[in-house]
Amino acid sequence: MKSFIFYSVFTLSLLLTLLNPTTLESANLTSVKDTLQTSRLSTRARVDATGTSVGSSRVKIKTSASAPANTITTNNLKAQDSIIVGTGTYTIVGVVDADEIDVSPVLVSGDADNDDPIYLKMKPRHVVTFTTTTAQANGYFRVLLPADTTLPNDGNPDDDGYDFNTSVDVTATDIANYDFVTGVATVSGGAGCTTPANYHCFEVHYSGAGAIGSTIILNIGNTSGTNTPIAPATGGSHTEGTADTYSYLVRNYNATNSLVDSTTGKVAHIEAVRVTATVDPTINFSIAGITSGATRCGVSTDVTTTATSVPFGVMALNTFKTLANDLTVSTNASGGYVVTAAENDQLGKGGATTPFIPDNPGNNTLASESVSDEWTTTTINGFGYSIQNVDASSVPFQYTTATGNCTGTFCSRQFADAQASETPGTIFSSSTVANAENVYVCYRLSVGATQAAGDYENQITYTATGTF
Amino acid sequence: MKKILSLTILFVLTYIQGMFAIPFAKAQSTTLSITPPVVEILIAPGKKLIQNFTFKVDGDNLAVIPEIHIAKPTDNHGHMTIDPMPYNPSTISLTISANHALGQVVSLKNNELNLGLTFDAATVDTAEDIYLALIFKVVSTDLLESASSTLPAISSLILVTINPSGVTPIDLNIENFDLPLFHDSYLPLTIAPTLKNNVPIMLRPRGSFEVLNANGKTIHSLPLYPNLILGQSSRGIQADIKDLPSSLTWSPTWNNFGPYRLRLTIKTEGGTKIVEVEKPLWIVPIRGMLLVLLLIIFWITIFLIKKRSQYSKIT
Repeated sequence: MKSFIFYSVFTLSLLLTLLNPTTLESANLTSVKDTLQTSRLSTRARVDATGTSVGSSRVKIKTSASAPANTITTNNLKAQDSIIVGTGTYTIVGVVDADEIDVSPVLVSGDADNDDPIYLKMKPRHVVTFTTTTAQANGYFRVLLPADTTLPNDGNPDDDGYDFNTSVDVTATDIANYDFVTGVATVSGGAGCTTPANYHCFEVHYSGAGAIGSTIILNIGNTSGTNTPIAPATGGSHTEGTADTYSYLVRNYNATNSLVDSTTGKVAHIEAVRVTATVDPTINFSIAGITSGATRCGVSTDVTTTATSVPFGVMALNTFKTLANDLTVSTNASGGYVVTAAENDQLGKGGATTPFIPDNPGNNTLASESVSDEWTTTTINGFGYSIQNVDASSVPFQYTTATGNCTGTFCSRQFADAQASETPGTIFSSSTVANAENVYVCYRLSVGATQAAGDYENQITYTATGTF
Repeated sequence: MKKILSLTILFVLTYIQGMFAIPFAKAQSTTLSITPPVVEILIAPGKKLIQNFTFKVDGDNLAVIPEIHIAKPTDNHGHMTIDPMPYNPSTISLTISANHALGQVVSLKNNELNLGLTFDAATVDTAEDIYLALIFKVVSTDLLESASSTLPAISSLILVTINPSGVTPIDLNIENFDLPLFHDSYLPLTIAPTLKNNVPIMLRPRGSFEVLNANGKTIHSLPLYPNLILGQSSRGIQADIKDLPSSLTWSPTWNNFGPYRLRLTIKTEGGTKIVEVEKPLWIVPIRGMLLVLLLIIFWITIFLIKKRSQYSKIT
């Protein structure tokens, strides 16, 4: 019975304490996160003088760690990164292999010595967001980022925390009940930033009543990297491909500097993933037929051509027939391309060398494989061509050319004759990359009464060549 | 029955005749591609090297003739002229063999041909360049029935240096780096200098284009595009803009006035300076000065007209 009464009183006493619980003074801020501009680790490596020399662009890094220089591969580096080697600033122009990179400009004296430092300084802006759980009037928020224990503010990446990097900008976004002033950053160990040890302090004060459930956004640093902490370099026990995680603290103080709410978050840094792809240089050349009746080089074409045939068919005496082909080139080679043309011989009867239809002499009998001449007189017989440029970078002439011997109606040339060892003539070209640049080549034939009857033929070779 | 039989025979004969009467289809378009379009080879005497080329063609009833021709630089833009005749193997210090017969029609597998060329460098005493073009000429297996036929062809340049010592001789000089005495600050200044390679060995130099003010401070700088210059030839000097060649251009601003110097520096790939040329230039706001002059003339004219009208009123 005694024990029954004892336990009843004890239980009742416990229940009575719940009637008036004490006010909770500290709680967790919720939805805390630190969004980094980039989660890429900084790099702190050492020069290996066995593969690095003054005047060379090649930098070899040591493959054994020596704290705080724990980076032993090039896996966190990529082309165009700005790095420090020794005391000089260089740009990576290429990653050669696991322990070698090429930089520009070449290394100068003092930057190629054994164990000279190699730094890649990543300076990501931190955007810290969280939700308040209590309303603290005229208080302040403080974010604490982990700092190096030895040199937390020397401007170089550290292996166990953020380097303060001399000066840091801290701002917060005003919202209802929180009117922020510009924040203050204090290096680890500085005035008011000693507890807990080895944390940099970033503080923003506000005026206002505060509120429960408000989302606060604090910015530490800038997207440009100025006045921004330097991200940690490779840690002492780092495994490549596995993030190094660091704890940071977010705190809310009231107007009397008492800590009210606090939450610990985690932030992770990992190597950049270097994505590589190779696009082979190539050149594409297309030749297409054109149907009869199409207007090319200012005239209507008489017969349909194909990619491989130019069938003039039966010719009337002293009459022009004009046919055309469509030539197109694309290349991703930075040097561009050139398309040349040459005929194996003049149009020969049955493909033989004689009798033959001569190459076009032009109205002024000045046309050749390299000199243009107008050709509008049907009684001037021969075989020649002109060009209509659609969008090629460069053509030597067009049917509309109105300079020299041409007046701009049908400026023409002869095809270079390989039989006569003439140099192939350029049809169109470019000195840079080209996307489907094309021209029309217009063939023209006229035969006179003295031309022996028969079938005449030759072969015209168009050759597309890349530019060196 | 006879009627049915004769009608059947007539139908069959008509069908067979129709089959034979169908004209051959002609390709309306033929597209060729080659990878790589340019190959640079540095090889020591007595050494062997294999390079593969991939040729593709879109079109039916096509075959290809691979040939090697001698090529030579044509102009300052990196274009080559290919000799119309195949090369003579006895004239070059390189023995070339292929996994397909050169100069003969090769049938294509899946419209593609992978050609492997093996280069054997002969023994030479001094460095020597050889410039070749591997040409793939497409031929139609259809019968030709036209007055003229076209042969589409595509080529890959093969630029070879045989170097016995490993040391590349260098002798470059800058040409056509001519500037006007005065330049209007309103207009961009574009120059087109060339770089002449005086040795028979190709070179790919780097360098920079700088504009210096009267105090010697660099106010504009562009890296030069590392164009390849073949032996005994010239190449236009261009700026490197986003890894693409571009013209050398400087656009002065309104406050650029006075004497300036334009500097071209040519270096080896390793950064050793080869040649540097500096030319003076005066930047003058010519248009601005003309505008001011016109304004002055305008106001003087207005002033004189006004004065004259006042004088005529008095008299």
